[in-house]
Amino acid sequence: MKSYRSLYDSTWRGLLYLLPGLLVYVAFILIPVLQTIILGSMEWSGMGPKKFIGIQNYIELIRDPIFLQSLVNNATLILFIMVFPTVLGLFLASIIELNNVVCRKVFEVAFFMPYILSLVVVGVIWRWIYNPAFGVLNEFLRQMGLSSLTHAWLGDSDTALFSVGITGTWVNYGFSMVIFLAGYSKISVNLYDAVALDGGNSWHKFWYVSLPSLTNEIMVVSVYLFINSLKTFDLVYVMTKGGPGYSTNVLSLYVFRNAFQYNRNGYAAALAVTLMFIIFIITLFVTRIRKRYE
Amino acid sequence: MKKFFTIMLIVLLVMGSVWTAGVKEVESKTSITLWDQYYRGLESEIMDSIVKDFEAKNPEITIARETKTLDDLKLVLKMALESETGPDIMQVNQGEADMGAMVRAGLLVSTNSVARDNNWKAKFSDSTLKAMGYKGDYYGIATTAEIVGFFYNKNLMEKLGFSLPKTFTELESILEKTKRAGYTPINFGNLDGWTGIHEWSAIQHVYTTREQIDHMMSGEKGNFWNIEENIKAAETLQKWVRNGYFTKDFSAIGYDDSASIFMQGNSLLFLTGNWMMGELLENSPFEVGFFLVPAQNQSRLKAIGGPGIPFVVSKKSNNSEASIKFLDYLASEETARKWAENMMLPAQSIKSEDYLDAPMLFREILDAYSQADEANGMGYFIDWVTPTFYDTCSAAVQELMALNITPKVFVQRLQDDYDSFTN
Repeated sequence: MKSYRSLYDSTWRGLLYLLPGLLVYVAFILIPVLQTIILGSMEWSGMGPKKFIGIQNYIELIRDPIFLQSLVNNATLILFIMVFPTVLGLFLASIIELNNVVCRKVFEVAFFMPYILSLVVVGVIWRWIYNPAFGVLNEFLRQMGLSSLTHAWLGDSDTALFSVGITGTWVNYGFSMVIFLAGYSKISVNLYDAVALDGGNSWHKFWYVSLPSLTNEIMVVSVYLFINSLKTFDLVYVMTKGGPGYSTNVLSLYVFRNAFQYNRNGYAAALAVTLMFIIFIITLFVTRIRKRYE
Repeated sequence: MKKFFTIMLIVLLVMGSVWTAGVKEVESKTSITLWDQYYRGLESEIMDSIVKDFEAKNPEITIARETKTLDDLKLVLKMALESETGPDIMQVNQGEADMGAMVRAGLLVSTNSVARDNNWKAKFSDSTLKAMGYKGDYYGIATTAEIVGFFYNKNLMEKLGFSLPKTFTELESILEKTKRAGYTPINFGNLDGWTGIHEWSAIQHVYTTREQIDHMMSGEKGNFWNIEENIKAAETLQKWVRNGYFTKDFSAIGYDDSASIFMQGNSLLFLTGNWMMGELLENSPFEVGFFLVPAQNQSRLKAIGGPGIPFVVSKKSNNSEASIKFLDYLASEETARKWAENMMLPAQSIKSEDYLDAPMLFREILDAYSQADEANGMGYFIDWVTPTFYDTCSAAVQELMALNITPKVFVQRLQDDYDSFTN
């Protein structure tokens, strides 16, 4: 009988196989992250010598009104980029899966389409949609006789963030729908039949079978979209550049500006480290919840 | 066989001597690397021709030109210079974030002595020359220039019976009458932010004195921004918003879209820079003219504008002498003519009479530039006074024009930004 060598036969051989991946990880992730953390305690314009200033950047950050406003804006965007797409994706996947929708592939592709577009293209398209002079949205409202509802959507600090957020929802719901559809494919049909035999309807099938079976997918989608919502940059940059005022400014944009426009590389690094820390804590929290739920 | 080897030997000897001669020729030439942001079609062709002419006049120098977008240039330049892999000559934006930072890091060659020896003052006005350097010292030469003023719809101006305003009061009267006639007095879109800076700063330029605005842009410590004239300019801007002089919902319209709206013909004025000329000439269905924002007091006539992005020489360059020679060539009238012949505004002041074949709009822009230059009224793009000023000012103007903050708060924000950098 032919014997196969396994990675577990020798620890050293196993480690050797892992080495190339480890080297890539160390070179492109670990070292840059460590450098960013170190840079966060420095004052550096990008040229000349660096000056060690301890936690000064972090103290300044807490007092920085633009940082705080950006944090609040990012928190609002979590609603639009994580919560709404997750709920909407789950809703659409359930409708498609539980009701045997005709031409389901057409719907799947159509709903998923926004996700594969470049965010810059999405931003440009929605800037046009929201344009008060010749945008589709205001024109639609006018045609419907609702001229009083037409608005400078991206130009008003009360509506700009929501307008950007809705674009974020539009981009991401297709992604969560596809993940949930994949999750649905592993649920046994027998479970639905059992619910049907007990006189249950689509809602019962969803509540008692689908939802508990999709817990892992919900967690994955939530964590992924949560990170996306904190990383938001392209949409805001293309649609509003953080304005009017700072009403749509987000952390990633603020990091970019500090690093590449204001020559404040140390402060930008401190901002990036804070953003990484927030993502880490919340991801850890969500993972813990998932483990407890399992 | 012997014959064959003899022939081969001769061929090799000839090739070797040709190659050696070539190497010697290359070695005897000074090779300069140039990074610039004139990457667009016509601009790039003009730059190529400038380089070619310079090489013809200076056969001992060759220039290897590389073009990049301004954003790319800004991103790589600082790192390249520090790591000594950068070019000999490059374009560096004026202001604290770029030229200021590089001067402080000791990366740029001062051109003070060349400017003095070659009398650059005779070729450029004081304000233009100053704007090419940093804190009174000369570091570079810009070859093109920019000026901001009102493009206007000539057909509509004629239809409404207006003549060009000579004072600020006349301008405001035109705005009011245009509004009453059912047209938009000033076409404007402020979604991108920077356009709002121009809108306020254009008024600020004609409200303040030369000394005041020079102080504001000096980078010296002082309460230069929080002054009555700036507050009044902000009040005027808010008054114009309240009176409905701007395009409806301007806060949600981008710059490019606002240009398209202007070309629809329902607005009279469009405040922007000469860079919009080509597009207006090509696409506008009506005749377009250009004039500077008029000052009430003629001694205060100033316009946002000045030289384009200057070419500077790296201190790490081993060919600084040859590089400075190229800079001096950029300052020549010959270079200015090359730009003007292609309807681009050169940094040197030239006469519109020399370009009678050019479209009227270009000649009007040349006249406006000369008018500002001769009156020593070439102002500034105020957003480069500190690295953060662009964002601070564009956000503050957006809030000012949304009537969310008072003119005093607005001006205080500008002063705070200035203080945070200079203190």
